[in-house]
Order: sequence, then structure tokens, then C-alpha cells
Amino acid sequence: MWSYVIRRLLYNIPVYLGIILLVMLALRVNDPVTAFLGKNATEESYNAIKESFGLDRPFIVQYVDRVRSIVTLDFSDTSWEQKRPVGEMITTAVPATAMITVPGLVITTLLTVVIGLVCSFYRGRLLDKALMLTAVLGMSISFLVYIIVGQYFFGYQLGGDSGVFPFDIEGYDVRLSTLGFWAGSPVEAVQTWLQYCGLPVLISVIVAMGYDTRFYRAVMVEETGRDYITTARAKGATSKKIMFVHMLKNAMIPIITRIMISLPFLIVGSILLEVFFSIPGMGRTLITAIVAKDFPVVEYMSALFAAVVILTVILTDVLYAIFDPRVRLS
Amino acid sequence: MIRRFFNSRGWGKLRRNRLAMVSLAVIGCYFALAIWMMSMDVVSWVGKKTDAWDLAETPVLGAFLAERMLEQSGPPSVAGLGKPIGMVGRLDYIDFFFSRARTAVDEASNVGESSDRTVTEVLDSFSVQERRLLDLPLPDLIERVEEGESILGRLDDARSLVNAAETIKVQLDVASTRLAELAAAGEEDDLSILQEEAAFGVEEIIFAIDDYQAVAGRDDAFGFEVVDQLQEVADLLFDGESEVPELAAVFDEIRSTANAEALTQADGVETLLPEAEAFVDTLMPVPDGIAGLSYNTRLLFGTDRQGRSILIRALYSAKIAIQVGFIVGLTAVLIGSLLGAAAAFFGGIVDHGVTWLYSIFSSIPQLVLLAVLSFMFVSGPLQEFRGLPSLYMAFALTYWIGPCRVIRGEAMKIKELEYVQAATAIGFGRFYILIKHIIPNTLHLMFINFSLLFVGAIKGEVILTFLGLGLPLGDGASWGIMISQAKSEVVQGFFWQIGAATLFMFILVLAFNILSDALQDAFDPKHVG
Repeated sequence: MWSYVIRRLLYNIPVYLGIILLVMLALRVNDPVTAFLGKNATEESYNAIKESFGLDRPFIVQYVDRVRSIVTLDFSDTSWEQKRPVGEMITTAVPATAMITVPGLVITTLLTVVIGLVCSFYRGRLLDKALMLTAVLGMSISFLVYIIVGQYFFGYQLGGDSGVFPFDIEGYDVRLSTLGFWAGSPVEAVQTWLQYCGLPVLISVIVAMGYDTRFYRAVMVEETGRDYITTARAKGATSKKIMFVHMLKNAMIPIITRIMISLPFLIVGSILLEVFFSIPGMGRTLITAIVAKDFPVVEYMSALFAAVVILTVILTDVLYAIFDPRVRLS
Repeated sequence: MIRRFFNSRGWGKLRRNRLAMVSLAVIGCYFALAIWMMSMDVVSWVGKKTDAWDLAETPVLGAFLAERMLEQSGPPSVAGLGKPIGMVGRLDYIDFFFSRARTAVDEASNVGESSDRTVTEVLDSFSVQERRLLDLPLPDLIERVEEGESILGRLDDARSLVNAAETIKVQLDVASTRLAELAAAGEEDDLSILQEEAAFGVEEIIFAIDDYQAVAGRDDAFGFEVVDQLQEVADLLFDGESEVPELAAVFDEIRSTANAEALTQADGVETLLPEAEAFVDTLMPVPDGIAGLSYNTRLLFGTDRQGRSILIRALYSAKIAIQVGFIVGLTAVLIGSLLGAAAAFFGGIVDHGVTWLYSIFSSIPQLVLLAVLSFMFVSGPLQEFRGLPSLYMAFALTYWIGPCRVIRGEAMKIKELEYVQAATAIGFGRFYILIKHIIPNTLHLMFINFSLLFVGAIKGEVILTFLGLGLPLGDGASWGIMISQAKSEVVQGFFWQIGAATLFMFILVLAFNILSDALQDAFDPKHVG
């Protein structure tokens, strides 16, 4: 077991080194300092920035340095645009992102697993066909359209002052990122959360619905063909029991995989939602940094995102190994 | 290889799927449209190189050239079917065509002997697509325009009178609040300031009434008496008097007069509007026959904020989408499946290398990778590739991992099958086996992946463009550009642009989604999710 875990870890080290290399190379295709300052910058300011981030050193030195600071979690380099340490920017952005991604994931998973179960139970019948058609139709509309139209109707027309929905058009309350606010006045916290994060969460659920429902339906349909279901039927178990006890339990592995795969996105966040609803999360920070050509932030954040993904992949593999002994042996 | 694909059982199964065939037909239509537009691009390019013809001037053939995407087809923000919305929209409509006609006539009358353009050429250059100025001699045209000036002048007067009457009502409200504040003033309030404010408030009413009467040309529209009363109160207030005559009755009188005046003037606008519209329509008529049909089709989905035809732009965007989807899908599938098949077949160091490479690319979240890759093109030496080429690159580098993983897995399985072993035993070379036996048997997966990536690229373009990392907003058109621009229109309740872009995109993406599903059902039935 442990040898397996260690093997996975060792295997991913060169992968991660490669990622940092790729990101650093891609970002150095243009001279980052010229991109940031523009062509008319003075030589002094150019050199000052270049030296402050160590860009005047040979690439290999920069590379080793970057790897070292990421491994030791030292994010003290400052952003060019905001003059704050990158680490501080990340720690303030993560809670804001989690405010929309965590509830989104939980609601989506619960809803779609149930719908998937229902669809597979009524497979081929009208309800199943109607739901699947809705899913395909929903998938064919751009994310952007959902956001623009949703924001217009639920935030602008029916939300805010009109009072039908408690949603604001955009914005965020920094108090939501603090634990004290949630512990101190939970009612107010929930209200504020609904006001700013309710609509983005709703939209993210609607968008994810199509993809996830189809996936879980396929998983469940696959399970219905298995022998153990036939056995359960033969011994006279009710169809409710078969669905929720036998099938759901066995379908857990693909469900967990799917959730694990989406875990990194709890931190990366939905860039689009954050940009549209002005939520100061990770995705928005990254895009603002890219548009402002704020090089250190882009470099650190992409490296960090990749680290999160890799750690989740390893974790998933380990979980597999724990639950499914066959994996360990291969 | 292709013939074998069409003889396969999966293809037969696909052909029996009616929905899939409909989707295929829809996709075919989009492709036909795109190919037609591209061939027109080529024809136009050849014409320009050889100086033989200028396709941009040709009516139907040149309609979809990139350089014509920025041309106006009508006034801004016209709703579908060419109907201007609301009073403002109708006024914009009149203003747009009339001011064009006026400038055209002005410039034409300045054409002298020395000018290298004839009067007709100048007039023509001001026509709006198929809508050109009435075919009359210049003096007659000048006369018509002057006639128009008078109609528009009356319309303008009526409109400004409606506004002036509204202003009077607003000033009434302001003054009454201030007077009420003065009356309710307590010990701690500064009386002189309140008095002064109230006085100014009352004076503002007088000014507003004066404005109205000046424009209307009737200086007793509200009665001299009323104005005198107001002036008296204002003077008293300025003198520091806090006990002033009650004005409520006077205010009510002014308000009812203002209401009545506003109503009559609004009626005037209502009657003048159709007249002005009819005038504009005769001055710059929608032509009959094919040209008229073509102009009306242009306005089928209205115009955007710059007055450009939404339909034309949405159709042109279909070409861009097909281009992006096809090139990205093809390159990504080719790179991915070659690497995947090679990795599986040769194993060892090749396999490790490829797995390493795709682990790297797949460990960076897709949108982040796309963003970082597009960062390369924002400035610097690669800036000239900004736009479509940078999109192709970013997508191809991001999307090849999907097909690579799938094909590698499939090729691993195929490698162990008897016929491959037999081929090895016979003594065929490894490359021969790879090309002849392994890759053809993964063809169906390539089709499925191509179809999936096609949709991915189209949707990705929209998102990247919105984030400012895709196509530049200024030139050409794409669904991404249209949807990004529509964001500010939606706030004003104008849905035609976002609606048209979404509709065209929806149909194509839906067709591809259905096709991907059908392909998967037909060729890869064991696949989950």
C-alpha cells in the first residue's frame, strides 16, 4: 500500500517540475517587464523591476529559485500591480472563491445524482427522454449567455430593490470571508451570502446540471445491467431499495471520482462567474493579473493551481487503492 | 481506411439514427455556408491582387467579406424586422437617415469642376447599403431636404416643449419641498439659508416657465398673473421675510397647465413622427424587388449599437466558428492520436515521455492554461498572431490531451489482439502495423473526439473573447465578440444581438452534441459519461 502511494508521489514529481517549466517558458516568450511597463518605460524603472523579481539572472537559476519557493510555500514575492505579496493575495482570494464553489458543488452533486438515478430508473421512458433532452439543450447554450441573461433577470429585474429575489447584481462583502462573521451573526451572514453569492451559485448549478446529469445517468444505467441487480430483484427487493441501497452504493466510485476531479476547481473557482459578479476570488485575481500583465501573480498562481490539481490526482489514486485492492497490484 | 469506416457496423447504426442524420444535415448547412464565404474571400483576394474586380462592391457575393463587417446597415439598436423601438428609437431612425441625406446633399453641392468625383458618386457614397437617395436632380433634392428640415424642426420643437413642461413639473416639486422645509423650520435651523433656498426654488419655476414660453412663442401660456405672484414671493423670501403668501393654489394651477401643455405637445410629436418617418422613407426609400428584400433581410434581427446588421454578423460568425472548430479539432485530434498511438505501441521511453507530457498539460486547469497561452500573444514578438492564429494555437495545445489519453488506452488494447500479433509474426514492420492496423481501428474514437473538441473550441472562443484573451473586439465578428458586446445592450432591455448570436450558436452546438452522442452510441457503446 505505502509503496504504491510513494510510487505515485515519485511519479508526479517530474510532472510538476515540467509544469513549472512550461508555465515559466510560456510566460517568458514575451519580455514580461516590457509587457508590463509598455515600450516607453525608462531604463531605470525597467531594470528595477527586472532585478526585483530576479529576471536578470539566468533562466536555470530562476527555475531552481521558483521551485524552491513553491516547495517551501514561500509566496513573499510582491505583485507588480498591487504591490502586495502574492501569498497575501492568494489567502484573501481563496475564501471568496470557496463561498461560491463549495455550495455549488454540493447542490449540483446532490441534485444530479438523484436526477441520474430517476433517469436510469425510467430509462427509455418519456420522463428520461425529456430530462435528457433538456440536458442536451442546456449544454448547447454558452455559459456566458446564462450569466448575462441570469444577471439581467434575477439580479437586475427581479432582484435587488424589487425584492422578488434577494440577489444583488454584483459585489461581495469581505466579511463573508471571515469566520467571525459567520459565528457572530449567522442569520445576517446567510442573508449577505444570498445577496452576493446566491445568484452565481444558482447559475453554476444550472450550467453544471446538464453535464453531470448525463454522466451520472450513464453510470447508473451501467450499474442496472450488473448481475447483482438481477440477484437483488430475484430475491424480491423493492425497486426503491435496489436504487438507493444497492445501486447507489456501487455507483459511489465513479461519483467520488467525479467529485474529486472537480475539487481543484473549488480553489481555481469559476473565472467567468467571479469576473461577472465581481467576486474577488482566485479566478478573478488571475484574469485581472493577466490583463494587467502582472507577471509574478500569473506565474505563482498557475503553478499553485497545477499543484492543487496534482495533489488531488494523487489523493484520488490513494483513495482508489484503499477502496479497490485491484488497483494496488497493477 | 475511409471506405472501411463507411462499411462498418457502427456507420450503419449511425445512419439509422434519424436525429443524428438531421444533425449531420444541419452541420452540413453550416459548413456549406462557411465554405461559400471562404470561397468568396478567395475570389475577392484574387480580384484585389489582379486589380480585375472588387468583390466588396458586388451586392450579394460581397456581403460576407470581412472588411464589410463594420459597415452600417441602419440606425443603431434597431429591433428585429427593422422596427425601431420606442419614441427614442423612432427619432434615432429619422435622424439617422435624414442627417445622411443632408450631408450627402451638402457635399454634392460643393462638388466643383476640379473635384474628381461626380455628384452621383458623392450621393451614392452616402447610401445605406441598398437604400440610396431618391433619384432626383440635385436642386430638387436640395428642395426636398429643406422641406425635411422644416418637418424635423417642428418635431424638435414639439419634443423640447414636452421636455420643458416636464422640467416645470420637476421644479414645482423642488420648490414645494423647500417651502415646506421653511415652514417646518425650528429653532436650531438656520432660517436665512432655508429662505434663500426656497427663493431660488421659486425662481427656478419662473425660469422654466420662461423657457417654455420662449420656445412655444406664446409668452402668456401660463398667464402673466401667475408669474408675477411667484416673483413677488421670491422677492419676499430674498428680503428675509419668512411669512409668505400660500402658494399651493398657484402651484396646482401651474401643474395642471403644464400637464395640459405637455399632452398637446406630445400629441404633436405623435402626429409629426409618422409624417417625418414617411418623409424619410420617401427621401431614402427601401428599394423594390431583390434589393429591397436583401435590405429587409439585413435587418431581420435588427442592428447593434453601431448600426451594423446583426444577421450578417451572426452568419459571418458561423464561418469563424466553423474555422476555429475545424482547425482546432483536426490539429488536436491529429497530434493527440499520433502521440497516443505511438506511446501505446512503442511503450518504454516513448510511452513515459508522452504520459509525462500529457500529465503536465492536463494538470493545469483548462481555462488557466488557455489564459496563460493566450498571454503569450497579448504583446511582444507574437503579437502579430493575435486573433485567430493565437486561438488555434492555444486551443490545439490544450485540447490534444483528451484524444491522446483515449487513443493511447484503446491502442494498448488493440496491441494485444491476435491480428496485431499475427502481423508481427508475419514480419511486418512496426511502423507499418501502427499505420495499417492500429490507427485505422481507433478512427471512430478520433471522430468522436473531433466532434467533442469542435464544440469545445466554439464555446471556448466565446469565453476567451469575453475575457479579453481571444479575438480583439474591434474588428470582424464572432459569436464571442457579439455576446461580449451585447452585455451592455442587455441592461437596456435590447436582446436582439445576444439572441441572434445565441440562436445560431445553439443550433450548431446542439447538432454537434447530438452527433457526438450518436457517434458514441454507434461506435463506442461501452463508454460511460
